[in-house]
Amino acid sequence: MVKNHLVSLLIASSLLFGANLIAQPAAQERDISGVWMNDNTLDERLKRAGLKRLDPNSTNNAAPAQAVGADILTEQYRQIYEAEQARLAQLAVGTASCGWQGMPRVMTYPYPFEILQTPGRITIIFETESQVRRIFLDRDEHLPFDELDPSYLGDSIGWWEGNTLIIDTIGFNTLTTVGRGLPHSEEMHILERWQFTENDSVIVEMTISDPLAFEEPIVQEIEYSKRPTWRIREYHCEENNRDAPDEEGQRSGGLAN
Amino acid sequence: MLNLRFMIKVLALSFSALSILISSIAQGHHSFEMFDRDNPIQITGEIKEFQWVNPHTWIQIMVNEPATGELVEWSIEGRSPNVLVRRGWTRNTVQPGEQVTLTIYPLRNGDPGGAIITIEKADGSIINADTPTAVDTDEEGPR
Repeated sequence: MVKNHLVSLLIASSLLFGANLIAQPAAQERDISGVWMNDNTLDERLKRAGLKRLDPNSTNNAAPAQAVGADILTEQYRQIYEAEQARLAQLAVGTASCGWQGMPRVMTYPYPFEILQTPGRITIIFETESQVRRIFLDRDEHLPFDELDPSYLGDSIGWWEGNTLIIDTIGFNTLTTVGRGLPHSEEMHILERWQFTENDSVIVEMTISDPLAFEEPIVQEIEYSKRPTWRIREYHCEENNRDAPDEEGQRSGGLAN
Repeated sequence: MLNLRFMIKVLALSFSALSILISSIAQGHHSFEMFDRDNPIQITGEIKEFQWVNPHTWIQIMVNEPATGELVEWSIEGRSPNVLVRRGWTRNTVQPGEQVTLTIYPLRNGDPGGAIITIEKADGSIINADTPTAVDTDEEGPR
Protein backbone atom coordinates (compact mmCIF):
# COMPACT_ATOMS: atom_id res chain seq x y z
CA MET A 1 0.00 0.00 0.00
CA VAL A 2 2.69 2.47 1.06
CA LYS A 3 4.93 1.20 -1.68
CA ASN A 4 2.22 1.94 -4.30
CA HIS A 5 1.86 5.46 -2.99
CA LEU A 6 5.61 5.93 -3.10
CA VAL A 7 5.77 4.73 -6.68
CA SER A 8 2.94 7.10 -7.68
CA LEU A 9 4.73 9.92 -5.93
CA LEU A 10 7.98 9.12 -7.72
CA ILE A 11 6.29 8.99 -11.11
CA ALA A 12 4.45 12.24 -10.46
CA SER A 13 7.66 13.99 -9.33
CA SER A 14 9.64 12.84 -12.32
CA LEU A 15 6.91 14.05 -14.65
CA LEU A 16 6.78 17.36 -12.87
CA PHE A 17 10.49 18.03 -12.79
CA GLY A 18 11.16 16.48 -16.16
CA ALA A 19 8.85 18.90 -17.90
CA ASN A 20 10.47 21.98 -19.37
CA LEU A 21 8.58 24.40 -17.16
CA ILE A 22 11.16 27.13 -17.41
CA ALA A 23 12.04 28.42 -20.86
CA GLN A 24 15.75 28.00 -21.28
CA PRO A 25 18.10 27.36 -24.13
CA ALA A 26 18.54 23.81 -25.33
CA ALA A 27 21.37 22.04 -23.55
CA GLN A 28 23.86 22.39 -26.41
CA GLU A 29 23.19 26.12 -26.97
CA ARG A 30 25.20 28.77 -25.21
CA ASP A 31 23.21 30.83 -22.70
CA ILE A 32 23.19 34.36 -24.10
CA SER A 33 20.10 35.59 -22.28
CA GLY A 34 20.20 38.88 -20.40
CA VAL A 35 20.67 42.58 -20.98
CA TRP A 36 23.35 43.63 -23.48
CA MET A 37 24.73 47.06 -24.36
CA ASN A 38 26.75 48.52 -27.22
CA ASP A 39 30.22 49.13 -25.78
CA ASN A 40 31.23 51.93 -28.10
CA THR A 41 28.54 54.54 -27.76
CA LEU A 42 29.73 57.96 -26.65
CA ASP A 43 28.62 57.40 -23.07
CA GLU A 44 30.21 54.00 -22.76
CA ARG A 45 33.50 55.31 -24.09
CA LEU A 46 33.34 58.22 -21.65
CA LYS A 47 32.71 55.91 -18.73
CA ARG A 48 35.52 53.57 -19.71
CA ALA A 49 37.94 56.46 -20.08
CA GLY A 50 36.81 57.97 -16.79
CA LEU A 51 35.99 61.18 -18.59
CA LYS A 52 33.06 63.42 -17.98
CA ARG A 53 33.15 64.99 -21.40
CA LEU A 54 35.15 64.37 -24.49
CA ASP A 55 38.11 66.67 -24.71
CA PRO A 56 37.64 68.41 -28.04
CA ASN A 57 41.41 68.73 -28.37
CA SER A 58 42.16 65.12 -27.67
CA THR A 59 43.03 62.67 -30.37
CA ASN A 60 42.28 59.85 -28.00
CA ASN A 61 38.55 59.75 -28.38
CA ALA A 62 38.52 56.20 -29.68
CA ALA A 63 35.88 57.16 -32.19
CA PRO A 64 36.24 54.56 -34.84
CA ALA A 65 37.34 55.05 -38.36
CA GLN A 66 35.51 56.29 -41.35
CA ALA A 67 31.94 55.66 -42.04
CA VAL A 68 30.34 54.77 -45.30
CA GLY A 69 29.07 57.66 -47.37
CA ALA A 70 26.72 58.23 -50.25
CA ASP A 71 29.35 57.12 -52.74
CA ILE A 72 28.45 53.52 -51.94
CA LEU A 73 25.06 54.00 -53.53
CA THR A 74 24.18 52.93 -57.05
CA GLU A 75 23.29 55.69 -59.48
CA GLN A 76 19.57 55.13 -59.04
CA TYR A 77 19.74 55.21 -55.26
CA ARG A 78 22.05 58.19 -55.25
CA GLN A 79 19.25 60.10 -56.93
CA ILE A 80 16.77 58.92 -54.33
CA TYR A 81 19.20 60.01 -51.62
CA GLU A 82 19.77 63.45 -53.10
CA ALA A 83 16.05 64.07 -53.58
CA GLU A 84 15.47 63.28 -49.91
CA GLN A 85 18.37 65.50 -48.80
CA ALA A 86 16.87 68.32 -50.84
CA ARG A 87 13.52 67.77 -49.17
CA LEU A 88 15.10 67.78 -45.72
CA ALA A 89 16.97 70.96 -46.53
CA GLN A 90 13.61 72.72 -46.81
CA LEU A 91 12.91 72.04 -43.17
CA ALA A 92 14.29 74.11 -40.34
CA VAL A 93 17.55 72.79 -38.96
CA GLY A 94 16.86 70.36 -36.16
CA THR A 95 13.41 69.24 -37.26
CA ALA A 96 13.02 65.56 -36.63
CA SER A 97 10.11 63.22 -36.40
CA CYS A 98 10.05 59.93 -34.55
CA GLY A 99 9.86 56.53 -36.16
CA TRP A 100 11.16 53.03 -35.86
CA GLN A 101 14.80 52.69 -36.75
CA GLY A 102 14.41 49.07 -37.87
CA MET A 103 17.40 47.08 -39.04
CA PRO A 104 20.23 47.78 -39.09
CA ARG A 105 20.11 51.07 -37.19
CA VAL A 106 18.40 49.72 -34.09
CA MET A 107 21.57 47.69 -33.50
CA THR A 108 23.74 50.80 -33.05
CA TYR A 109 21.41 52.94 -30.95
CA PRO A 110 22.78 53.98 -27.55
CA TYR A 111 20.26 51.97 -25.53
CA PRO A 112 20.48 48.33 -24.45
CA PHE A 113 18.55 45.26 -25.53
CA GLU A 114 17.59 42.04 -23.84
CA ILE A 115 17.90 38.54 -25.27
CA LEU A 116 15.45 35.81 -24.43
CA GLN A 117 16.10 32.21 -25.40
CA THR A 118 13.29 29.71 -25.80
CA PRO A 119 13.28 26.40 -27.69
CA GLY A 120 13.90 27.04 -31.38
CA ARG A 121 13.95 30.80 -30.97
CA ILE A 122 16.01 33.78 -29.90
CA THR A 123 14.08 36.96 -29.20
CA ILE A 124 15.78 40.34 -28.94
CA ILE A 125 13.80 43.12 -27.30
CA PHE A 126 15.33 46.57 -27.77
CA GLU A 127 14.88 49.35 -25.25
CA THR A 128 14.57 51.62 -28.29
CA GLU A 129 10.84 51.82 -28.92
CA SER A 130 10.46 48.22 -27.70
CA GLN A 131 11.31 46.95 -31.17
CA VAL A 132 11.57 43.16 -31.34
CA ARG A 133 13.67 40.87 -33.49
CA ARG A 134 12.53 37.27 -33.64
CA ILE A 135 15.29 34.90 -34.76
CA PHE A 136 13.93 31.52 -35.84
CA LEU A 137 16.37 28.70 -35.13
CA ASP A 138 13.84 26.05 -36.05
CA ARG A 139 13.47 27.27 -39.61
CA ASP A 140 16.18 27.07 -42.24
CA GLU A 141 14.37 28.94 -44.96
CA HIS A 142 12.94 32.40 -45.14
CA LEU A 143 9.24 32.87 -45.60
CA PRO A 144 8.27 32.99 -49.27
CA PHE A 145 8.26 36.52 -50.61
CA ASP A 146 4.54 36.66 -51.20
CA GLU A 147 3.98 35.79 -47.53
CA LEU A 148 6.64 38.17 -46.32
CA ASP A 149 5.16 41.59 -45.84
CA PRO A 150 8.24 43.83 -45.88
CA SER A 151 8.88 45.01 -42.35
CA TYR A 152 11.14 47.24 -40.28
CA LEU A 153 13.06 44.33 -38.75
CA GLY A 154 12.82 41.68 -41.44
CA ASP A 155 12.50 37.89 -41.31
CA SER A 156 15.43 36.35 -39.44
CA ILE A 157 16.61 32.75 -39.41
CA GLY A 158 19.58 31.68 -37.33
CA TRP A 159 21.85 28.80 -36.44
CA TRP A 160 24.82 28.14 -34.19
CA GLU A 161 28.33 27.28 -35.31
CA GLY A 162 30.13 26.58 -32.05
CA ASN A 163 30.22 29.87 -30.16
CA THR A 164 29.10 31.87 -33.15
CA LEU A 165 25.47 32.64 -33.90
CA ILE A 166 24.72 33.27 -37.56
CA ILE A 167 21.63 35.33 -38.38
CA ASP A 168 20.34 35.81 -41.90
CA THR A 169 17.66 38.45 -42.47
CA ILE A 170 15.65 39.57 -45.48
CA GLY A 171 12.27 41.14 -46.14
CA PHE A 172 12.78 44.78 -45.27
CA ASN A 173 10.45 47.67 -46.01
CA THR A 174 11.87 50.93 -47.34
CA LEU A 175 10.78 53.10 -44.43
CA THR A 176 14.22 53.06 -42.86
CA THR A 177 17.73 54.14 -43.75
CA VAL A 178 20.99 52.31 -43.27
CA GLY A 179 22.67 55.21 -41.56
CA ARG A 180 23.73 58.71 -42.54
CA GLY A 181 20.43 58.81 -44.37
CA LEU A 182 21.43 56.15 -46.90
CA PRO A 183 18.35 54.60 -48.52
CA HIS A 184 17.98 50.91 -49.33
CA SER A 185 15.57 48.71 -51.29
CA GLU A 186 13.39 45.75 -50.33
CA GLU A 187 16.23 43.57 -51.61
CA MET A 188 18.44 44.43 -48.65
CA HIS A 189 20.01 41.38 -47.04
CA ILE A 190 21.75 41.39 -43.69
CA LEU A 191 24.06 38.59 -42.60
CA GLU A 192 25.35 38.69 -39.03
CA ARG A 193 27.98 36.64 -37.24
CA TRP A 194 27.65 37.00 -33.49
CA GLN A 195 31.01 35.87 -32.12
CA PHE A 196 30.63 35.31 -28.39
CA THR A 197 33.66 35.42 -26.16
CA GLU A 198 34.35 33.92 -22.76
CA ASN A 199 34.00 37.22 -20.91
CA ASP A 200 30.34 37.80 -21.73
CA SER A 201 30.93 40.00 -24.70
CA VAL A 202 30.09 39.56 -28.36
CA ILE A 203 31.40 41.02 -31.58
CA VAL A 204 28.74 41.24 -34.24
CA GLU A 205 30.12 41.30 -37.75
CA MET A 206 27.34 42.57 -39.96
CA THR A 207 27.34 42.47 -43.76
CA ILE A 208 24.64 44.57 -45.40
CA SER A 209 24.13 44.00 -49.10
CA ASP A 210 21.60 45.41 -51.50
CA PRO A 211 21.98 44.68 -55.21
CA LEU A 212 19.74 47.60 -56.13
CA ALA A 213 21.03 50.25 -53.77
CA PHE A 214 24.69 49.54 -52.93
CA GLU A 215 27.64 49.13 -55.25
CA GLU A 216 29.30 46.97 -52.62
CA PRO A 217 28.25 45.40 -49.34
CA ILE A 218 28.70 47.42 -46.17
CA VAL A 219 30.55 45.59 -43.42
CA GLN A 220 30.54 46.80 -39.86
CA GLU A 221 31.54 45.43 -36.48
CA ILE A 222 29.72 46.24 -33.28
CA GLU A 223 30.77 45.12 -29.83
CA TYR A 224 28.34 44.48 -26.98
CA SER A 225 28.74 43.19 -23.46
CA LYS A 226 26.35 41.79 -20.90
CA ARG A 227 25.17 44.21 -18.22
CA PRO A 228 23.98 42.15 -15.26
CA THR A 229 22.94 45.21 -13.22
CA TRP A 230 21.00 46.98 -15.97
CA ARG A 231 17.27 46.70 -16.45
CA ILE A 232 15.50 47.55 -19.67
CA ARG A 233 13.62 50.86 -19.50
CA GLU A 234 11.11 52.39 -21.87
CA TYR A 235 12.05 54.67 -24.71
CA HIS A 236 9.17 56.23 -26.60
CA CYS A 237 10.24 59.01 -28.91
CA GLU A 238 6.72 60.36 -29.34
CA GLU A 239 6.43 60.96 -25.61
CA ASN A 240 7.62 64.53 -25.81
CA ASN A 241 9.13 65.19 -29.18
CA ARG A 242 9.61 68.94 -29.11
CA ASP A 243 11.56 68.74 -32.36
CA ALA A 244 8.54 67.46 -34.23
CA PRO A 245 7.61 69.22 -37.44
CA ASP A 246 4.66 71.58 -37.25
CA GLU A 247 1.90 72.03 -39.87
CA GLU A 248 4.36 73.59 -42.26
CA GLY A 249 6.89 70.84 -41.66
CA GLN A 250 9.11 73.17 -39.68
CA ARG A 251 10.57 72.35 -36.30
CA SER A 252 8.46 73.74 -33.51
CA GLY A 253 11.80 74.71 -32.00
CA GLY A 254 11.30 73.13 -28.65
CA LEU A 255 11.01 76.63 -27.24
CA ALA A 256 8.56 77.74 -24.62
CA ASN A 257 5.95 79.94 -26.22
CA MET B 1 18.68 22.81 -45.48
CA LEU B 2 22.34 22.35 -46.33
CA ASN B 3 21.89 24.06 -49.69
CA LEU B 4 20.63 27.34 -48.31
CA ARG B 5 23.39 27.67 -45.74
CA PHE B 6 26.02 26.76 -48.29
CA MET B 7 24.62 29.26 -50.73
CA ILE B 8 24.66 32.00 -48.17
CA LYS B 9 28.25 31.21 -47.27
CA VAL B 10 29.30 31.25 -50.91
CA LEU B 11 27.58 34.55 -51.46
CA ALA B 12 29.12 36.03 -48.35
CA LEU B 13 32.62 34.95 -49.36
CA SER B 14 32.31 36.08 -52.94
CA PHE B 15 31.56 39.68 -52.06
CA SER B 16 34.65 41.80 -52.48
CA ALA B 17 34.27 42.78 -48.89
CA LEU B 18 34.66 46.46 -48.39
CA SER B 19 35.79 46.01 -44.84
CA ILE B 20 35.17 49.36 -43.35
CA LEU B 21 34.85 49.36 -39.62
CA ILE B 22 31.96 51.45 -38.57
CA SER B 23 31.01 51.53 -34.96
CA SER B 24 27.92 53.53 -35.63
CA ILE B 25 26.54 54.06 -39.06
CA ALA B 26 24.41 56.86 -37.95
CA GLN B 27 22.07 59.62 -38.67
CA GLY B 28 21.43 61.66 -35.61
CA HIS B 29 17.92 62.07 -34.31
CA HIS B 30 18.27 65.67 -35.27
CA SER B 31 21.13 67.78 -36.45
CA PHE B 32 23.40 69.28 -33.86
CA GLU B 33 24.12 72.05 -36.34
CA MET B 34 21.53 74.38 -34.92
CA PHE B 35 23.74 74.88 -31.87
CA ASP B 36 26.86 77.04 -31.89
CA ARG B 37 29.47 74.58 -30.72
CA ASP B 38 32.28 77.09 -31.03
CA ASN B 39 30.86 79.58 -28.56
CA PRO B 40 29.40 78.05 -25.41
CA ILE B 41 27.79 80.51 -23.01
CA GLN B 42 26.60 80.52 -19.42
CA ILE B 43 23.12 81.41 -18.28
CA THR B 44 22.01 81.82 -14.68
CA GLY B 45 18.53 81.70 -13.26
CA GLU B 46 15.83 79.80 -11.46
CA ILE B 47 14.62 76.42 -12.63
CA LYS B 48 10.99 76.49 -13.67
CA GLU B 49 10.70 72.88 -14.74
CA PHE B 50 12.79 69.77 -15.46
CA GLN B 51 11.21 67.48 -18.05
CA TRP B 52 12.48 63.96 -17.51
CA VAL B 53 11.08 62.57 -20.78
CA ASN B 54 12.15 61.12 -24.11
CA PRO B 55 13.56 61.76 -26.61
CA HIS B 56 15.19 64.71 -24.82
CA THR B 57 15.17 65.94 -21.28
CA TRP B 58 14.48 69.65 -21.07
CA ILE B 59 15.37 72.28 -18.50
CA GLN B 60 13.11 75.29 -18.44
CA ILE B 61 14.98 78.14 -16.75
CA MET B 62 14.00 81.77 -16.09
CA VAL B 63 16.91 84.01 -17.04
CA ASN B 64 17.25 87.70 -16.34
CA GLU B 65 18.11 89.39 -19.64
CA PRO B 66 20.68 92.06 -18.79
CA ALA B 67 19.76 94.25 -21.76
CA THR B 68 16.06 94.54 -21.01
CA GLY B 69 15.93 93.52 -17.37
CA GLU B 70 13.05 91.17 -18.10
CA LEU B 71 12.77 87.49 -17.25
CA VAL B 72 12.98 85.23 -20.27
CA GLU B 73 12.23 81.51 -20.25
CA TRP B 74 15.01 79.49 -21.88
CA SER B 75 14.49 75.92 -23.09
CA ILE B 76 17.64 73.86 -22.72
CA GLU B 77 17.64 70.37 -24.14
CA GLY B 78 19.65 67.44 -22.87
CA ARG B 79 20.19 63.74 -23.35
CA SER B 80 17.56 61.08 -23.00
CA PRO B 81 16.77 59.99 -19.43
CA ASN B 82 17.74 56.49 -20.57
CA VAL B 83 21.29 57.76 -21.04
CA LEU B 84 21.44 60.13 -18.07
CA VAL B 85 20.17 57.60 -15.55
CA ARG B 86 23.10 55.35 -16.40
CA ARG B 87 25.43 58.24 -15.70
CA GLY B 88 24.05 58.94 -12.25
CA TRP B 89 21.20 61.35 -12.93
CA THR B 90 17.66 60.86 -11.66
CA ARG B 91 14.39 62.67 -12.27
CA ASN B 92 15.17 64.67 -9.12
CA THR B 93 18.66 65.81 -10.06
CA VAL B 94 17.24 69.18 -11.07
CA GLN B 95 14.38 70.69 -9.04
CA PRO B 96 12.06 73.61 -9.72
CA GLY B 97 13.06 76.64 -7.70
CA GLU B 98 16.79 75.89 -7.73
CA GLN B 99 19.23 78.65 -8.63
CA VAL B 100 21.69 77.27 -11.18
CA THR B 101 24.19 78.26 -13.82
CA LEU B 102 24.04 76.31 -17.05
CA THR B 103 26.85 76.11 -19.56
CA ILE B 104 25.27 75.57 -22.94
CA TYR B 105 25.78 75.65 -26.69
CA PRO B 106 23.29 78.34 -27.63
CA LEU B 107 21.01 78.27 -30.65
CA ARG B 108 22.71 79.93 -33.58
CA ASN B 109 19.63 81.96 -34.41
CA GLY B 110 19.67 83.76 -31.08
CA ASP B 111 16.44 82.30 -29.75
CA PRO B 112 16.37 81.50 -26.01
CA GLY B 113 17.45 77.89 -26.26
CA GLY B 114 20.45 75.63 -26.37
CA ALA B 115 22.02 72.26 -25.63
CA ILE B 116 23.26 71.63 -22.11
CA ILE B 117 26.91 70.94 -21.31
CA THR B 118 27.10 71.30 -17.53
CA ILE B 119 24.96 72.50 -14.66
CA GLU B 120 26.40 74.25 -11.61
CA LYS B 121 24.28 74.03 -8.50
CA ALA B 122 23.92 76.61 -5.75
CA ASP B 123 26.34 74.64 -3.57
CA GLY B 124 29.02 74.92 -6.26
CA SER B 125 28.86 71.32 -7.41
CA ILE B 126 28.99 70.75 -11.15
CA ILE B 127 27.15 68.00 -12.96
CA ASN B 128 28.03 67.04 -16.48
CA ALA B 129 25.22 66.59 -18.92
CA ASP B 130 27.46 65.16 -21.59
CA THR B 131 26.02 66.76 -24.63
CA PRO B 132 28.59 65.65 -27.16
CA THR B 133 31.26 68.26 -27.65
CA ALA B 134 33.35 69.08 -30.63
CA VAL B 135 33.75 65.49 -31.65
CA ASP B 136 30.98 64.67 -34.06
CA THR B 137 30.47 61.05 -33.18
CA ASP B 138 27.59 60.94 -35.60
CA GLU B 139 25.89 58.81 -33.06
CA GLU B 140 22.48 57.40 -33.19
CA GLY B 141 19.87 58.69 -30.88
CA PRO B 142 19.16 62.16 -29.60
CA ARG B 143 22.07 64.27 -28.48
